[in-house]
Amino acid sequence: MQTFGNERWIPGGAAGAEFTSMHSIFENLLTRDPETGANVGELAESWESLEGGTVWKFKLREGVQFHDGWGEMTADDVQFSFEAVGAEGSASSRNNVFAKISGYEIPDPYTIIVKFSSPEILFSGDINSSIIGTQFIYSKDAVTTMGDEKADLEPIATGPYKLISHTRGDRMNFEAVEGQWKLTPAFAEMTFIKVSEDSTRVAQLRAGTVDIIDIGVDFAGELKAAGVKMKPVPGFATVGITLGGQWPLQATYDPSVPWAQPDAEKAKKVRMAFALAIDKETVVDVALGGFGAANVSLPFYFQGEPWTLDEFEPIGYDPERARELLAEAGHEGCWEFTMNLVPWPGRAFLPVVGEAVATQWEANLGCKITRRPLDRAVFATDFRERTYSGVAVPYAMPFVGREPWQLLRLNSHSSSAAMLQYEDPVFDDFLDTIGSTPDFDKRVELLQDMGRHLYSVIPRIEIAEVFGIFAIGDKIIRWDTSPGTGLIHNTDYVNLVWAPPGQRVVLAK
Amino acid sequence: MIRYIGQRLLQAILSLLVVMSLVFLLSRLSGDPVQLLADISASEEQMDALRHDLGLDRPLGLQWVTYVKDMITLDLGESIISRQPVRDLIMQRLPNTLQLGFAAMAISLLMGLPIGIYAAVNRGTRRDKAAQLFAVLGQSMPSFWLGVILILVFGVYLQVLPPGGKEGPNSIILPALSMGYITTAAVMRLTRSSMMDVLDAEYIKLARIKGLGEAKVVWKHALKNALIPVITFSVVLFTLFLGAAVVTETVFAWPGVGSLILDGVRTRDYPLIQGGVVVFSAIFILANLAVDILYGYLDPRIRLA
Repeated sequence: MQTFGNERWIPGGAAGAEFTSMHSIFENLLTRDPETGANVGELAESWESLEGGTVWKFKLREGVQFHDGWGEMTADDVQFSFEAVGAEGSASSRNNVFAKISGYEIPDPYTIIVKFSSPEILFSGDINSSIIGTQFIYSKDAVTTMGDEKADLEPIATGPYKLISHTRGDRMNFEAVEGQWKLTPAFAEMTFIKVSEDSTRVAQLRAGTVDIIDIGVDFAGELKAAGVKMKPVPGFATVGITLGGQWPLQATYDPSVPWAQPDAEKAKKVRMAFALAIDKETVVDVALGGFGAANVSLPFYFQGEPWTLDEFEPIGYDPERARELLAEAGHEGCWEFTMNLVPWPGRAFLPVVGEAVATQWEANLGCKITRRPLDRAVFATDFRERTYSGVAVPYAMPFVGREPWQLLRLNSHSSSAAMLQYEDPVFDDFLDTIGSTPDFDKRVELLQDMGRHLYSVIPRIEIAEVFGIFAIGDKIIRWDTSPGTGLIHNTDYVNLVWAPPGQRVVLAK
Repeated sequence: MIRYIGQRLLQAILSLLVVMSLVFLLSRLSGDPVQLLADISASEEQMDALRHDLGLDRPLGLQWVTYVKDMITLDLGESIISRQPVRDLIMQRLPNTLQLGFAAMAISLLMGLPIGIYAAVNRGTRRDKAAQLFAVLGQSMPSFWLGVILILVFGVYLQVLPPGGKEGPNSIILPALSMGYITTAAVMRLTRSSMMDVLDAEYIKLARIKGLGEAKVVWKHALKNALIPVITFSVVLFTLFLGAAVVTETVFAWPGVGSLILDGVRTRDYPLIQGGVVVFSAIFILANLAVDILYGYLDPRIRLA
């Protein structure tokens, strides 16, 4: 693995980045079907959202045992875990959701009712073990008996593997749990090794000293050429170009920026021109090593989703029309501006995407573009302070949940800390309304309307769906991953055919 | 002698203090770690709370005073990222770094000494030039490049050695070779020049006039004296390996303090960077102090000067 080292194994101690290390040990109430990505029960057998999303009722699986004889998992453990995540001082990025829990009811040891002070219509995404950053279920007995310090070193959970030893920032050794309620993993032992250098991880895999590596798209071509088996995970992110400055009510607004000028029609023509001047297929080939699909026009409006209408077809490649549009917008030619090249964690391909797009804009529109390599933390400040007017920014929006609004409310609402689209009351209204609509069908309709609105404005140029990529060794016959989950996960399904809980089909050891 | 040791000790303490202050300031110049720790959607209030929690909202001078006080009591602080004591994190990995340093030093000496002697004995010949070329090649190569080539050849193509990680006793060979070959040139050159000086000395000429065989002259009479500067240099060599460890450990995924420091730099983990660099500096300064004291003991002219 490229990185780990900040593991915290006490309830409320994990910030979210520890996902990979936790996913093999811990479980949650729900997970996602590796084939379809749909929510399925994990520690919960069934669940329902009641009273407009303010009440959630879970029926727990009976007979699930914690590791090392710490007893059966019950509703008390769930309440204990949820309270820790929502408590003051919790490191969890989902703290704000769990802090809204106003009460619990436990009618029997296998049923828990969670009540919220305001609707949480997609709470199922916050208790889902295959969504990065969500929280897990701990043994109340183990944590309270051992104390935080010891519990932080010896995590007790219900997952398919248990932690045997740990050298922080170097390696973690796991052992399969025999007779785990779901399945006993095919590999009796598993080790995670931290190897920061991409080339070293690739060499280790090719030498056969490791079996799975996470790898950026920049190495994909080399690996494919060497005949290494690749495991792409679709729906990991959507990559596009954010055109900075579309925040007319902010003090940092600059009306002279052509794609954000006060004349909305002209500004849209400029943005459309830039969209038409990108050969997206080439960007996918060059910058993503072919591990992507130029089939999106809006973030997370993937083909086949009920909110993705035919009319949201990807904007094609037409440099001539692009130049005409620029002229119609009152520009004789292009101008000089900056393209920030920021390698975001897990998305090292972004500077290459920026370079590819900048080269095409220069060739097709005659722009003069200054490439500005930048540290992620420095740019995070620009994001928050809205100080990148007139700057183009390649950015890949990561999967945080199936429905597009789940991500957009975090990075595209006017009140968000980050701004990756544009500030617009109509768009804000959509996000607010959808976020408080418990009925799925109604949400789909609203998402379609929001899509129409966004498609008519084109605030950001969406280029492609990006796949997460793992490379796997010859030993691995099959590994079922969940769509959108770009970090190593589902290690219990390495080498196995997906089977319903309780069944197990081992192809090879 | 005591006064001399006292002076050197004082210099060592001052050097360490300067290093500590420089590391403190330079690590803070790299930016705000909260920007890396916080999620992109974190609000300004959440970030301020995190800054307060980490003590980064206090005046810089106050942070420095606390830092120096803690360092004096060997409290290296707590890692911002892993929330573990930095001292524990370093002590867990220091043996690996020392192990790699000693192995690299052994390779450097085992290659550099014989080649240097061979070149000195055959000075001016093609064999001398070939020996020098071999050593200089090592000095000219960036260690990370050599590391990648070694991984490719021995790890991927031949598959005779593990390409990375600490997976068994033979895991150390490639990283140690990668570090050791780089300094072979220095050892070889020093050995060669020192050997040539000694071989020109009157007592060697006398030994030859007396009819001693060339092998005996070289190995018994010349080598002993020629080795003194090389052995002294090997202490410096070891400290050089500590610096080189940052790159080599990262390329080979060797779990040492060097890669730990680089992790700290990547994540702006101030306490980790400070602790790691100060430990490396302390080893460097102590090693040099030991050499100074040894010189003063062996050669009174140095301590009197």
